[in-house]
Amino acid sequence: MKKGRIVLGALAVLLLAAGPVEAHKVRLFATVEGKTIKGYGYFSAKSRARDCQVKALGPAGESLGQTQTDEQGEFSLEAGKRVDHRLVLTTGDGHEAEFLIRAEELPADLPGGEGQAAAGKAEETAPAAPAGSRAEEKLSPEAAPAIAQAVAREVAPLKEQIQALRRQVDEYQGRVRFSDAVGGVGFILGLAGVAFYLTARRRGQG
Amino acid sequence: MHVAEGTLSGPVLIGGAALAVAGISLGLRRLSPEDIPRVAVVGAAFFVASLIHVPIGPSSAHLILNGLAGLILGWAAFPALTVALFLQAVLFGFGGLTSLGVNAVVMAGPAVAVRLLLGRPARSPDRRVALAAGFGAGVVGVGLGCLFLALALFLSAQGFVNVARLAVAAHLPVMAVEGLITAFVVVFLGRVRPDLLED
Repeated sequence: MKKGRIVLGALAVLLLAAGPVEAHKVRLFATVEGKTIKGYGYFSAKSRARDCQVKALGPAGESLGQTQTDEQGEFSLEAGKRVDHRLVLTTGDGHEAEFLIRAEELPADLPGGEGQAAAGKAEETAPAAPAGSRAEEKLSPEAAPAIAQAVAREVAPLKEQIQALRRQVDEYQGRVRFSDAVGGVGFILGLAGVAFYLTARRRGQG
Repeated sequence: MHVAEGTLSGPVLIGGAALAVAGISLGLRRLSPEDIPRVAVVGAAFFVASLIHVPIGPSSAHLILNGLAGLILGWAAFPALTVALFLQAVLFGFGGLTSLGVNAVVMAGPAVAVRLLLGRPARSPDRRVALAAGFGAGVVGVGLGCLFLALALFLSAQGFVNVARLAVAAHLPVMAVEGLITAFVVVFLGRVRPDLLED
């Protein structure tokens, strides 16, 4: 059984040597900046998907745009409507990745099914608003844009942090875990055990 | 070289699945209980191999090991590699489940071809012949795999020549590394456990 141990030892070495992997699957990540959808395709944290096609599809599957990733694996697409954009990246050799940009992430002033419905609802609720707006009027009409600017300034670093967090989560989801490798090997060994059991039973009965 | 979900057309997926089922039943039929450990270990090695990263200069190559699997298992490479591909899809997200049949044919088909073409020279007592056969097995395993992949994509309405060129070019370092590793393993097995390379 010494030779059997050599084979098992080799397998253990292979398992331990497993490191970060590239080019077995491609992933796509994107965010919205203003009216532009920006993102990148990647194989791993260190390897980007260069020169790959990125298509944007609408809720009914209609084409909303198409572009290629650049040398850094990045791309950008102008959003024309405030609808869900389903981004699909293809590498050309069998790998594909998807990412969904929801309509809510796009600016409200874009035309589109959702945006117009929201605007309609806003008009309906406007008559009920006066009570609140009267309170705002006490502040002074000139203050409103200044307040908006101040809020945007305060919120900007938060937005950046959230985007960075989303990137981290996306990359974490795509990473291969050692525990999964161990689980897979265990599954195979278990299958072998079942196979042994079945063939032993067959032989015992024969 | 794993084909993801949604890349191939329905007929290609079904055809690939049918071929894979045929290959698997052929492989299982010739399987005897003594072969089970060998099949399990090779399957597990193939499963883990895709995680192994061999740096080559600026880029790197990942192992595939389908050529070696073919030399050791022959037709049993079909069930072994299909199980491993299934686990790679479910646990790592490599490839897909609908494309499992096609991926199995892409990986195990060349494995069987390698066995048929280079099985005998790999068993040769002459170390140099075995080394060369092992190297050829590694190169052909990966190279044929790229061509099968290109064929599958072509049948799903993508330009064959372009994909083939892309896939083969991207896998040249992989072929070199596979060739070397398979060559050394073949020689090693020939010395330590020649029965693993027998039928």
